[in-house]
Amino acid sequence: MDYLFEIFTEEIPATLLNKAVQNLKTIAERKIQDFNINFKRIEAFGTPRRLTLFIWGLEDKEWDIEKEVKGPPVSIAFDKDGNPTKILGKFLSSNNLTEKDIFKKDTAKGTYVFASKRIKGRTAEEVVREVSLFLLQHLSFPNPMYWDNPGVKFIRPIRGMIALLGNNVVKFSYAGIETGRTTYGLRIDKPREIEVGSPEDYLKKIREHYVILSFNERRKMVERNMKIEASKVNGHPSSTLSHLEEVVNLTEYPTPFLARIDKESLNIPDCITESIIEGHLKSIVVRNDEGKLLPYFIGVRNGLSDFVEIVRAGYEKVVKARVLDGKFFFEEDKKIKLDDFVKKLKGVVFIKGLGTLYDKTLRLVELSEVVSSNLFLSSEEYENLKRAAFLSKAGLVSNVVKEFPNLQGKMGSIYAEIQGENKVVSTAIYEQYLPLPASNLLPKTKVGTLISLIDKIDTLVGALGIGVKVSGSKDPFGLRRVGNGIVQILFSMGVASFPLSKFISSSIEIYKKQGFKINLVPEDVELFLKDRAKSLLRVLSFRYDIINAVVSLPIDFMPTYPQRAKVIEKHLSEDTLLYIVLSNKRVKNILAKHQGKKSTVDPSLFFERDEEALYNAVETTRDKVFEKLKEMDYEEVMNLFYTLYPVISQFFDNVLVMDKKDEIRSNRFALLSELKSLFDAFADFSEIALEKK
Amino acid sequence: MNFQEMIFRLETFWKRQGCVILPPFDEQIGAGTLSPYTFLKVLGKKSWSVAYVQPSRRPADGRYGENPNRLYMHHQFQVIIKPPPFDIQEMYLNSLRALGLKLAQHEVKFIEDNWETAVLGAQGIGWEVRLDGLEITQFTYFQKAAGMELNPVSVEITYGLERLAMFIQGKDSVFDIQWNGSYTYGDLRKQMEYEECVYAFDESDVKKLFELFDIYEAESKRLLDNDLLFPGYQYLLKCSHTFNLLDARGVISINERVNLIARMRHLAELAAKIVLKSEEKNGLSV
Repeated sequence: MDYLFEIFTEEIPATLLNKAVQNLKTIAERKIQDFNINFKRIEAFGTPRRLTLFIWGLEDKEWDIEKEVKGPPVSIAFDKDGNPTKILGKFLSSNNLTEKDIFKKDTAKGTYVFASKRIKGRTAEEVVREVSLFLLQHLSFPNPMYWDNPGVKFIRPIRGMIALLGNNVVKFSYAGIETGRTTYGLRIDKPREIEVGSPEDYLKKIREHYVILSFNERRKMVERNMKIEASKVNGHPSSTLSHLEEVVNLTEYPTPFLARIDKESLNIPDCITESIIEGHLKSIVVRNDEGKLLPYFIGVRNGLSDFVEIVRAGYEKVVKARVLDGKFFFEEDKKIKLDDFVKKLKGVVFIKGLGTLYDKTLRLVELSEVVSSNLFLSSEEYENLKRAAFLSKAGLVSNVVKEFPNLQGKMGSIYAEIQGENKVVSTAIYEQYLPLPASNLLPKTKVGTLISLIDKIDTLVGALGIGVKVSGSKDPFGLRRVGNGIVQILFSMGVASFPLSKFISSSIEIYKKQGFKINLVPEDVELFLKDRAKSLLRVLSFRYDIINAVVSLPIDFMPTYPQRAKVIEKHLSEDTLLYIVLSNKRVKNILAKHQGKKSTVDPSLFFERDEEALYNAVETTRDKVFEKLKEMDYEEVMNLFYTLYPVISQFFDNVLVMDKKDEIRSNRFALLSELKSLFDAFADFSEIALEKK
Repeated sequence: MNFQEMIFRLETFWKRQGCVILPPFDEQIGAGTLSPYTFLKVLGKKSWSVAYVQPSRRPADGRYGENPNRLYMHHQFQVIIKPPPFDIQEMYLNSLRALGLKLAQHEVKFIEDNWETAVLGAQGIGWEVRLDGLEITQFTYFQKAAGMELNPVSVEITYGLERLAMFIQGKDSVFDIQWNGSYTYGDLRKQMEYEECVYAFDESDVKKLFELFDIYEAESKRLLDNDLLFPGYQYLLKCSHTFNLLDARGVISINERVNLIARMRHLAELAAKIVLKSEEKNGLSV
């Protein structure tokens, strides 16, 4: 038997639909495990107006199960003559059994009466009813709503339900709605009821009424037809996957059509046009072979191609009006000096408790100075960085950005260029917001990279400093994303170290100097960033233990975490790493026994040949190790460690560290500490879990 | 179809659905939601059905009558029904048919759009309705007012009359809309539009407006403290319009904004309490 369950609703938000369909399927699959029933497969679909579940090939009923029930002890169940007692009688009647059904069985506590009881399976109808009601109650959505049934929340109002098992309606009700066999097709004119005979019949009828149930099928229709439409003007449709998902999920039957943008509109920056077409009109821009925007776009009608020319004219008019608006704002903005925009930032709160965006601007300017002196920037680079920092937030108070908030970086950059700022500064203003969410696009220029970093450091320090907590789904200021941005940039820098810790502590000082009460130590920020680094390294599929080994390094070495991890990973199956890890372990274990002060090594206190040999080896290796670390030649560092192994073994074989004399013992500890710090300069090898051979 | 005919048709349509048809509330306000016919009526259990035109003044949107799409004052047609009828969506589509639209020739999309009004502590979940890409209506199920969850909820349908008229009459400028057979929208509204903008952007006395805000607020509070709901609420509306005038001059700093909104929100909550208290006292009149 097949089961069909359709929840017919008012329009489900396009960006949430696929997730809802996925939940429908997983919850149904999980819930049905509670029953002793077989089925072939479960499918789920969704359009703006319905969530539909199929259970194909469901058995007629649950299978019966035999269950052993334990009764009273034999000694109580029968009297001394072997006749059944009242107690046994009670057990039989309460379980609906007769004396024939029972048998005796020895248990640890003596011999008991047992019976085998048959539990009858429920019918498929009972099963699907329970599964359906469970779905209605347990499908969860961001921001669900009430409509007219107090206590019942759903993503949008439910206006009908089909529950069909084979040809029969499974009766139940929810939110005041009774199940039936009626639904509606694509909204064309007056709604027409569709009577559905069976799940198979539903598939056929719903298609006849222009509803394409499957998202993938609708997406393919859009993709195929928008290519055809765009090719009419030698263009290509251009859209991101998530945008396409939204466009497709606004339709039950998508019909892409080509529409024209007024030529004169091309006097405004492309990003404004794109924002209107994609963001406002939920349509798709068209580009030529060189990727340049063409004066056309693809609208996607929810409906057939009949009268599409009327719909097209409507879309074109909306674009025209919005472009006119955008142009007005753009022209207005151009009249205002960027320095005046900066002054306006005094009226815009950054984060409550952390002053205005103007305060932030001043902090970024001051951080530029710190960055410049620590990284030995040329005076030209410094001037550019400082200017970019000063102008970085100016675009936020422009009219265009107020109207199109997603254009923050782009418009700031465009205005800077128009007003004669140099290319380095204008590019940096755009690049400060990179990487964008769900994108790997990083700043390409040096100044852009630095401004992006200090902007994010400032946000992170400030927010953590006023006690913003990030946990689970709670992340009100998107701090994880900010942290990920910092880590992504560092990982791609290709340098042996970067003075991040210095910038963090400077950022804290600058906040305090401005008079803000922020309460944190640099380690709080470092810990947060290391956490983000771990999560990004996991995305790069490194093993946990390797991640922990490299993340234990000071944060200034963060740019090198991935390369170091890669080298360790490469040696995992080789003796090199085995010996390094073992040596490190022996050293660490013995150092753990050391109590008392650390001292420096005094060669005059050596008595054994092997301790002198180890000392000399460490001394000659150290410089090489640090040189190679600087050159980021981690392969060679591993080799250097490896060559130490024989000397270390001999030391442990022939030298008793725990000498009776204090000074000799301390001296040996000091030597081992030096060795340990050498290892630690590459990674914390004690984190590495070796497979036992 | 001309502008006034559209209004008549909508009134007739919603009258047939059982709505009370009221004249616009005579106070300068920014949106139909602020009208006492909406805000004070969505609270509590009593059922309610109303439809009215609401001239809505948003000073910051004014363009001296020079922009074909932006106005200092536009007209909303507002419908409130509590609790929402089962077929409310179809009912709404029928109202578009009543305006002579043949829906099979167009595209109607409901695109997620939830709103929040800080001043009223109000929140709604719903859609903007797009007709061939043009936003013509906000369709919302009220979830909260004065910070309280509503039970039952109300449905709020807000038509943008100028947009609809431009669509139906095929005009590119709002001022070309035919109001009736002899007058255009521009004939009747353009000079007023210009003068209101001159006032809002150039001539308004900022210092005096701040003073007025304080006076209106005090008066509202005094009246609401004495359980005089309507007069008290009207002074809150005066506060709100004064705030909008100040906002158009760009003189409200961010901290000031938070502060002024919180003060108005407090008044809205006082008003809401009176509504709920009197409903409790009088019992439900079904």
